[in-house]
Amino acid sequence: MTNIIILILLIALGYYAGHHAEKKHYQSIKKREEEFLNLPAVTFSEKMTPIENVASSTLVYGSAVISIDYFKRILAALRNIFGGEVGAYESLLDRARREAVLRMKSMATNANCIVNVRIETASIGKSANRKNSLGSVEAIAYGTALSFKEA
Amino acid sequence: MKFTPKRIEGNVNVSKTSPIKEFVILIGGLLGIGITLFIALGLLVDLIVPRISVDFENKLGSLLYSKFENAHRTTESKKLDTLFHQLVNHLPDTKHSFSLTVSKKDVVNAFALPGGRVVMYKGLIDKIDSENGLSFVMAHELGHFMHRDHLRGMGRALILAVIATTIFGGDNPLSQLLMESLTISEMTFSQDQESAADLFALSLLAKQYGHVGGATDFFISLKEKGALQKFKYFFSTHPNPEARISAIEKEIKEKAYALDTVIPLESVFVKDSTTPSIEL
Amino acid sequence: MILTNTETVPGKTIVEHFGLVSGSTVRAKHVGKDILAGLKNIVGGELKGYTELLQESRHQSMDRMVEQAEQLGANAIVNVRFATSSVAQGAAELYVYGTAVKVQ
Repeated sequence: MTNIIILILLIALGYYAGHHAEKKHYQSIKKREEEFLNLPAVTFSEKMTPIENVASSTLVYGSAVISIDYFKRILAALRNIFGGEVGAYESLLDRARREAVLRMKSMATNANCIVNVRIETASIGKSANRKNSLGSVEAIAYGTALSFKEA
Repeated sequence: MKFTPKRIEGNVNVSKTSPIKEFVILIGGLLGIGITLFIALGLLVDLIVPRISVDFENKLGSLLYSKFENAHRTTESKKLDTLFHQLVNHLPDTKHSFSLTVSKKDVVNAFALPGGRVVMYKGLIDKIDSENGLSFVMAHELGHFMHRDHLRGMGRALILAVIATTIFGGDNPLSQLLMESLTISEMTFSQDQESAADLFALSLLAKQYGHVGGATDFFISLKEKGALQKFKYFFSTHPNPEARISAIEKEIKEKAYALDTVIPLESVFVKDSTTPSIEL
Repeated sequence: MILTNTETVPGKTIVEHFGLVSGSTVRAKHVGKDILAGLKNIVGGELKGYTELLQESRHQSMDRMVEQAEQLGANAIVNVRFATSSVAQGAAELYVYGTAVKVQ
């Protein structure tokens, strides 16, 4: 019985804390995306820009590790039984990737463009004896920041 | 090529379903499946159990306990054994080969295992002051064999444990939640069986002594000593002693069983250290 | 919508670009299919259930990416990359991203 009570408390705590944190995070992501709106990040390579125009180029990267809350963990486990879209993980991955891109952009100070951007996702924090549990997700974004000569 | 900064409105990468709604639907679905499975399983067990022959049960029992056969065969005192077999003689003819095993552990419990083996703990025997009371506990366990509860209980618990762990894995919080809710429902299931076994024990006691005096001795001693904490294990699968006393007394009145003086229990339990102790 | 995984759209010129667009999805099959797949693992061969799952997921993530690109007024996505991750057990996680462009 106590186990059930603890479980329900954990789920409730996970829901409220997780929901709040997610809302805050999205607000901050949107705010910063607005700030970096003029710094494009593209997947095509530097060949698209005239070489004589480039003053400097550096590797920039950003990564973020986001963990899932208890409520979503249970929700995802349930979803796994019935099948379908695992919405609980979608926001997790979305947050991690957008955060990683933002951190990469914030590293590219004075750059005009980030080219050849790659985004990778890895899961970490899985302990060996609990393979069913999800630890957290890491997203890393990297690319080459180019700054152009003043025309 | 020029760059046009534009905002992406909304978020297509996240499903728009409300998590609470999804949670409620999924939990409801899971509970529905669980309950259906549980009822189906209960029906299945009830269907199978009467068909299991005593021979097969004996085989199952010997298979399960062949490892510590010797330790279990020992009986602490001849008197207990005699008492036990006197009770067995009153039973309707079955192919069971009943045996009594006394464990020296200081636990207040007794149980019935497949193959006609009754296990009693020393801690339980110490709580009882009369031979009649002791016979009642033995008869209660024999009642479980007559009703084949030991197979029923094991069957469902075993099947469910196997199913839950194969589907979700043992370390999944979901299967833990499922197991937790299962033990609660399993408890009411076995409490009914305990009451039935009590009534059976009462009739056996009447056959043995011609009266049912001392039937409630054990429960009264449990209640008086009030050491609830210590007997948590016992209570976990059995009904509240007060409820059992009143149920037994009601049955005595209905069947008009005689009540007579009880035979006091001498120290049947020889407290020597030569007998091997049994670890269960 | 033209999707390519090359730098350009051959035969056309890129006149305008809008930055990154991406689509991602996490989908799971119900437990029955998981068990069947587990059994199929004994004899080997194609796991139809999972092939289906991954195809569905890939389509969905591409649809999502295209939806973003349409919002930006692009008519092509170049240099598309697919990425998978394995965060949740028994679920397919597909991620696809590229650069939204306007071609002529």
